[in-house]
Amino acid sequence: MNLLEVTNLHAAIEEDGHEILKGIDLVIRPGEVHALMGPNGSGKSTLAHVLSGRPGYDVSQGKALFLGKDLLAMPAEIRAREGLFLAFQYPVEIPGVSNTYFLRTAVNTVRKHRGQPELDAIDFLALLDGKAKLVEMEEALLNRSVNEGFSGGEKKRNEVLQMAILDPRLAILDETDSGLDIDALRIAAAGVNALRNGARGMLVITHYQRLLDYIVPDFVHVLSDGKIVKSGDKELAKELEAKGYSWIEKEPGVTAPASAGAGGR
Amino acid sequence: MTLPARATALHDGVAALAGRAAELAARRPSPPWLQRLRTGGVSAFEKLGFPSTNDEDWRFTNLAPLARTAFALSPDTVSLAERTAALELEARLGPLGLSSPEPRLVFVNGRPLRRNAGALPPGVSFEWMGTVLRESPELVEKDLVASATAEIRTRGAFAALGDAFLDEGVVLRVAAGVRLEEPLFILHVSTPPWSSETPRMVHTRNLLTFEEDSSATVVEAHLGGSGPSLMNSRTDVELARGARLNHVKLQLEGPETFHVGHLAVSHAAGAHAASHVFSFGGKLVRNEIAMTLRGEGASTELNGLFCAASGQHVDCHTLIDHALPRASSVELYKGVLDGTGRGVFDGKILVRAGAARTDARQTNRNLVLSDSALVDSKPQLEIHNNDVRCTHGSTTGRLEADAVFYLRSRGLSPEAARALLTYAFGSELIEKVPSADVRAFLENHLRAWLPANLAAPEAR
Repeated sequence: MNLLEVTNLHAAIEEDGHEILKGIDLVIRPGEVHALMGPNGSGKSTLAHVLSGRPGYDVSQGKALFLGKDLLAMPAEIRAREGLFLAFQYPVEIPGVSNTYFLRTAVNTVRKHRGQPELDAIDFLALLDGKAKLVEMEEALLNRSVNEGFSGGEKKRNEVLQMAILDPRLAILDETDSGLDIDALRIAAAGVNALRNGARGMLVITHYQRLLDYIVPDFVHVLSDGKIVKSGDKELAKELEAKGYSWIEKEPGVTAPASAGAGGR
Repeated sequence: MTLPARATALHDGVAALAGRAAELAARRPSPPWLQRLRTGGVSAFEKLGFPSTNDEDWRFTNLAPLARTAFALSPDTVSLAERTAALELEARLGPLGLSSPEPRLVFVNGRPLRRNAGALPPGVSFEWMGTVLRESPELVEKDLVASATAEIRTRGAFAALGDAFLDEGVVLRVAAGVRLEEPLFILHVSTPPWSSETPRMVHTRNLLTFEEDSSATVVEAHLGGSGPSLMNSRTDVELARGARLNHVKLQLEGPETFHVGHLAVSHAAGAHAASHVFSFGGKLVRNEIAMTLRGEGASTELNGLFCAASGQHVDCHTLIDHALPRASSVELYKGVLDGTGRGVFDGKILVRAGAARTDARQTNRNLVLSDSALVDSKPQLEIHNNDVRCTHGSTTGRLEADAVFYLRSRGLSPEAARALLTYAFGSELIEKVPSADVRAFLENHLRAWLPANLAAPEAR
C-alpha cells in the first residue's frame, strides 16, 4: 500500500484565503525518500503543515491518503499516532517540560494508540539511551526543558531524536538543514539515514541541494508556485544547484509530469 | 440618613466583629498591655471598617461578600467532629501529611490541635502563641506592641482585627548560628461549618525571630474543606544580621473560603529571605508580602503561583522596601486563571533615597485559560535614588498556539497538550522550593488542580 497519496491538493491560508498550494500530486511508497525542493514562497512548508494538520489552512480541493485512510479528516494528534511525523523547521521551545518527560509522554501516547504496551521508566530510558546516541545527543540536553536554550543544531537533532523514538511510517523533514553548520548538518543527516528502512518513507523538504549530499533521495521534485513542476532523480537536485531555480521557472511549458510526480519506479 | 445597602452590610459586619472581639477579651484574663492591644484593635477596626474598592490598595478586590458573611469564633474546646475532619484534611497533604516527621504545630479552626514530636536542636523554641501569652507574655510583649500601631496604619482593617482577636499562633525563636535542616510546619486546618452553624473565623499571629546567622525553612499551610470560613493570618519575621529564612506558604483551602494572609519580613544587614507562595484559590483570597530591607547587602526573593478557577478571586500584593544600600530583590509571580476566575497582582518596589546600588527585578506573568477569566496586574516602581538597577515586566496571555500544535504533532491530545503547558507554566515556581517533599506535594497538587477540561498528564 502507498504510504502517502496526494491528489490535486489545493490549500489556502484560512485568514485571508490566499491560495498557496494549487494542485499537488505526490505518491510516496514504503522505503522511498523523496526530496521536495523549490524557491522561497513556492509552498514547501505549507505542504508540510497541511499534511501534518497544522491549524490555519483551508483545503478547497483534492485529497490526501495516508496508508489508505483520509489524512485530512484526522486531527493532527491522530495523524501523529497513525505514524506521520513532522520534523519542524522551527522547533518550539517548551519551558518547564523536560525533554525526557515529553518524549516519554509522546511515545506512550503513540504506543497506546497502536495497541502496544506503554513503556515504563526503565524500558523508556533504555530506548532513549540508544536513540540519543544516534544523534549524538548529550544527556544534559535530555534533562533540560524541550528545546529551551538549545542551539540550532541541537534543536534539529532533537527533532531527529523524537522521530527515532516515535518510529513513524512517514517522516516529513521541513528544512532540517536550515541554520545548521556543516558538522551539525552531518550529525542530523546521519541520524536520519540510520532511520531509513524498507517500511519507512520520507519527504525531505529543502531549499538547497547541500542536504541531499548527505540524505540521498530516491526522487526529487521541484515545487514552484504551489505546483510540482518537475520531478526526477537525485541528478535533478544537482542540476538545480548549478542552474538555480530560475531555470525551472523560465523553462517553457513546464507542467507537472503526472507519472514522474507520482514517483513511480 | 439611610446608608446604601452595601454600606449597611459592611457596617453590620464591623459591629458584629467588634462584638465578637469583646467576648474574646472577656474570656481571656490578660496583662494590661495585652488588653490594651486588643481593645486598640477593636476601636481601630470600628473606626476603619473594611476597606472599599475606592481604597487604591483594594481597587480590584471587593470585600463586600466577606463583610456580608457572619463569622463566629470557635469555642475553646476542640470537638471530636473537628478532630476527625482535621485528620481527613491533613491526610490530603500526602507526603507532607500526618506521618511526616518534621516538627509541626497543627491548628484546627485556630486552636492548637497537635504538636508533632519532631526533634528540635538546642537553641530553637517553637511554641503556641497562646501558651506564651499565658505563661510568659513578657517574651512577646515588645514585638507585639511595637508593631501594632504602625501595622494598623499601613494595613488597616485586617491588622486591626488581628490585634483585636490576638490569641493564638506560633512563636518561633532560632538562636544565633543555629541552622535547621528540616523544615518546620505551621499547619492550619479550617473545618466547614456543621449544618446550621455560623461559619468559623480564625485570626492567627506568628512571630518568628532569627538571631544572627541562623537559618530555617518554615512551611505555613492552610487547609480547608468546602463551606465558608475566614482565615486572617499574620506572620512577622525578624531576621538579624546574616540570618536566612525560606518561607513557604501553601494556601489550599476550599472554594468558599475567605483568606487574608500577611507576611512581613524585616531584614538586617546581609540577611536573606525567600518567600514562596502557592495559592490555589477560594472565594476571596488575599496574599500580602511585605519585605523590608533595612540592612546593607540584604537580599530577598519573592516567588508566587496563584491559581483561580470559576467563582474564585486571588489577590497577591507584594511590597519590597529598599531602605539601605546594596540590597537586592528578585520577584517572580505567576497567575493561572480559568473559567470566571479572577486574579490580581499588585507589586510595589520602593527604593528609598538612601538605597544606592539597589538591584531589584520584578516579573509577573499570567496565563488566562478562558475567555471569561480576568487578571489585573499592577507593577509599581517608586525610586528615590539614581544609582540603582530596577527592572519590571508584566505579561498576560493565553497558551501559545505553536506550542499546543507542537505537542499535538507528537501525538498528545489538545487537552493533554494544554494541561502539560499549563503545568509547565506553574512548575517553574515549584522548582524553586528548597524542600523535595514540598516540591513533590506541589507537583501532584498542581496536576490535580488543572481544570477538569484539561486531562491531567500522567505522573512523572
